Amino acid sequence: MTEYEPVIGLEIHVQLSTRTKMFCGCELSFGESPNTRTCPVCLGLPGALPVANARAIHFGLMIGLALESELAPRSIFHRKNYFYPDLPKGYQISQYDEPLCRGGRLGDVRIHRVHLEEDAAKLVHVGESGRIHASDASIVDFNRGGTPLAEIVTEPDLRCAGSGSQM
Amino acid sequence: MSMDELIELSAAAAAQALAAGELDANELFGAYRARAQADELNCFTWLASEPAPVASNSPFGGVPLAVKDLFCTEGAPSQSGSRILEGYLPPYTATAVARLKDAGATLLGKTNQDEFAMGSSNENSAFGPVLNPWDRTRVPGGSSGGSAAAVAAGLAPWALGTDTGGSIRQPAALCGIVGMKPTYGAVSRYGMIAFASSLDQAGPLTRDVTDAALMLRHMIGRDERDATSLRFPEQIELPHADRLDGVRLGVPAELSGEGIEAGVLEQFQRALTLARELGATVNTDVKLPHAPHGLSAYYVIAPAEASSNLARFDGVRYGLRAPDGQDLVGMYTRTRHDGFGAEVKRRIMLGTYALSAGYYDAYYGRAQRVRTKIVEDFRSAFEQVDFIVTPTTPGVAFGLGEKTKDPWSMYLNDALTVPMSLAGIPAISIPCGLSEPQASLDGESRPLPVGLQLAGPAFSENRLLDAAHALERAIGFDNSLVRA
Repeated sequence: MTEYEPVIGLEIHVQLSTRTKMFCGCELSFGESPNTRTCPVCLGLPGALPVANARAIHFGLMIGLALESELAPRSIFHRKNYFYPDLPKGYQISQYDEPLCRGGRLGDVRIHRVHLEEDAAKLVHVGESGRIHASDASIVDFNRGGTPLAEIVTEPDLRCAGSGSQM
Repeated sequence: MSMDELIELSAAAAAQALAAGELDANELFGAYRARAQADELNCFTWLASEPAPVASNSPFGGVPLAVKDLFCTEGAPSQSGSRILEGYLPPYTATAVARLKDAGATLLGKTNQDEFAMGSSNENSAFGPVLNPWDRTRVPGGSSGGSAAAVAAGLAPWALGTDTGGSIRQPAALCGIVGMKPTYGAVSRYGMIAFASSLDQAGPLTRDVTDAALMLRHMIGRDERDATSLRFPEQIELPHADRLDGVRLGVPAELSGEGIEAGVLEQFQRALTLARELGATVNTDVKLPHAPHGLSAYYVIAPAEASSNLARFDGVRYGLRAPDGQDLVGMYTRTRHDGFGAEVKRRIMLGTYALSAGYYDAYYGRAQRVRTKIVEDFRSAFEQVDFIVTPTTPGVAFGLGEKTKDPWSMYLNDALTVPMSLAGIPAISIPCGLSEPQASLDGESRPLPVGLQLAGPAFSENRLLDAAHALERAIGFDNSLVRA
């Protein structure tokens, strides 16, 4: 019988505790009435433009410092294009080849990179189980859309699920 | 004042008359509204029913303004010439429009345009083509065709348009009026339905250079809502120059010979002679070696950016949602199939391909590197000359339907304007003469306007407007001919 060894890497999305969203002035919220914390920018209305949240960038850099990462002197936002109803612009503003931070470590686990991006909106599938499969329709709450996220990517250094959750 | 006298006033003259109490704002609006209502050129997609109130001591005091369809105007349709946004009413107003309204301009109506600003003839509009007031069997140019034709025909004193590869300058040239694209970043793009984000710029279409300066003065400058907008280093002044002493003009061979109609070159050369008489030196040795590749680079970059910017039109939140989509993908594909015209679809496909994995660097990456070369070409050229001068377009207004079968023949219209867009530098088109009468499909022959383009380094708007003003006076083009 062949022996397999678990080799685990993690992509951790951390919601940053800024006052406003990643690319607009809407306040972050949780549990508010749907679509009450929105504006032309985070709704992806025609003509709207993103403006980066400076505090989110500072927080991203702080995370990088805490993880002993290299902080990029120059970092670029890229668009990740795909179609889904919780993605109003048809692209997510994220980072590609010039992320905010590279390298670093947390304990024995090496960090590959840390970058910033915006969260998608929340899809609710209307029907008995709340799952897409048996639903009559899906509705979208854009309150969450645009929330600043720091994505922390590790190298595949974890060897069991336990250390993963510990991390 | 009679109706005829009212509409002969330039925007600047009307603003002065309004401020002096010699003219009533409602009367001025009414005169233009009546003409716009009776329009047979299809310039407008929407007309305001009455003038919005303006502050009495504002700079413009109520001068009516026609605004290209793609500017979001709260409560008024903002469709970017497309079926996919038919009837869309935005909940906010574009910064450029808001600033002009704050300065006392009153919205007259929204003008027809090529769909999503993609086109050079206004034949790509979902709301029908616009006709050229000089010859109704011919196109006014595009994509700001409605704005240009409205100003030329005296249906609006001035208009706001956008220029991505020439979409203000080219229709201005074909309609015998003034059109200007400012330095990239000089005017906020917030609220402009996007085509190509690194190229789009708002600008004026006007009867004369002074009106262009006046409009620009009140639109320009940093907007916190547009991270690419810049603080303009100086105030835009109304131009006064009537001489060009000490001005060094450069005419690059790459943009003033091959592919340009003889009639256009003739008018262009005549204007250069006038420029010399005004004291300018004309340097024909200046080179822009990579400019001939501008069109190819542009038609990779612009569609690439458009393919991403137009992804938001998916039927989910606003605009058209085609019925009978059985599932999510069905809704997406039916909506975009029904909602987008052929040229838009063509560019989305081209752009998506150019950005796709494995091709990104070969196409988009390479096109951006060519772009950098063009930026460098202009930078060197401006060490030897103050302004680059070219004809604005390779030909005069062409017939409706003449270039719609072959996209590349349509794209060639932008060959002389695209390099300035890629380099982000300011450029203005002024009418420099009329061609010999050109035979049209209706059996008539009519003379058609020819445009001359002046381009300067980034932030040279004031110097550019002054040079254009001096040349405009010497040329003495009468564009009231089609305001009957």
